[in-house]
Amino acid sequence: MSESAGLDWHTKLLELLPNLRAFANSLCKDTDYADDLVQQTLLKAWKSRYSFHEGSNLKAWLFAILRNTFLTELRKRKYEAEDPDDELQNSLTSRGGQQGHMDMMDFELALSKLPQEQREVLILVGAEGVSYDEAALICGCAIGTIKSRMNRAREKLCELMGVGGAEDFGPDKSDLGQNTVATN
Amino acid sequence: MPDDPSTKDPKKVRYSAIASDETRRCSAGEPNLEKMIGDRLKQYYATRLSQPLPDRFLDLLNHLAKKEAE
Repeated sequence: MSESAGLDWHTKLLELLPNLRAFANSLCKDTDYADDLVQQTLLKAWKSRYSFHEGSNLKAWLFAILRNTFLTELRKRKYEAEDPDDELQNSLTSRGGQQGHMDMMDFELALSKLPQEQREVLILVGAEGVSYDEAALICGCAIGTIKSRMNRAREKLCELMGVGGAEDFGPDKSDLGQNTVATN
Repeated sequence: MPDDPSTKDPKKVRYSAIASDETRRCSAGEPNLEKMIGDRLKQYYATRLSQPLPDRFLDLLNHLAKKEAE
């Protein structure tokens, strides 16, 4: 590969770094571990850059590397990213008799309680803005599976939050007034 | 005397409270609810996207590009 192509990779990876890091942080709660995942992804991507087909979807390719790295590590180290002690679960407050109190913290806790395969689809499609096709590519499964996981994730999220309708979503106190989400 | 919910296991209280209220059943397919979930999700992700990147990543990429150029 020529020098210019190498520099081009440098630029492309740099551009997608915030997205990679945000995705890694959504997969696991430990930010240091998330950064390690990103670093491993960068190294693997750089090493395998010759196998990447020009014109393919680089973001999907990188996200797939990151996800596979995460899952491999998860199996190898038996890393529990899903709240083994139920601390987060227990800290979710009762919603049965309350109205309009769904704040950001509770939302994050509920999100962290979702099964990993549902959480990643929700993040990819709902937040990162990738298409169902791209999500299927990243997760290595059929589009129908992605749609199904997406629906189950939404339902599970509502169940965890005890939310029955849009009116249960109160104004978020942590709203920073910005809603800049990367899209395709 | 009815049971005081506060004396029960918090988990059980939460789930029983949800289950006993028909009007509060999960309805994730509701358009407004989907929008609200989507908004929260985007907000959650936006905070992660906006976090400053540690220098280690830039250092690593610079190192790799330099090595490539040599």
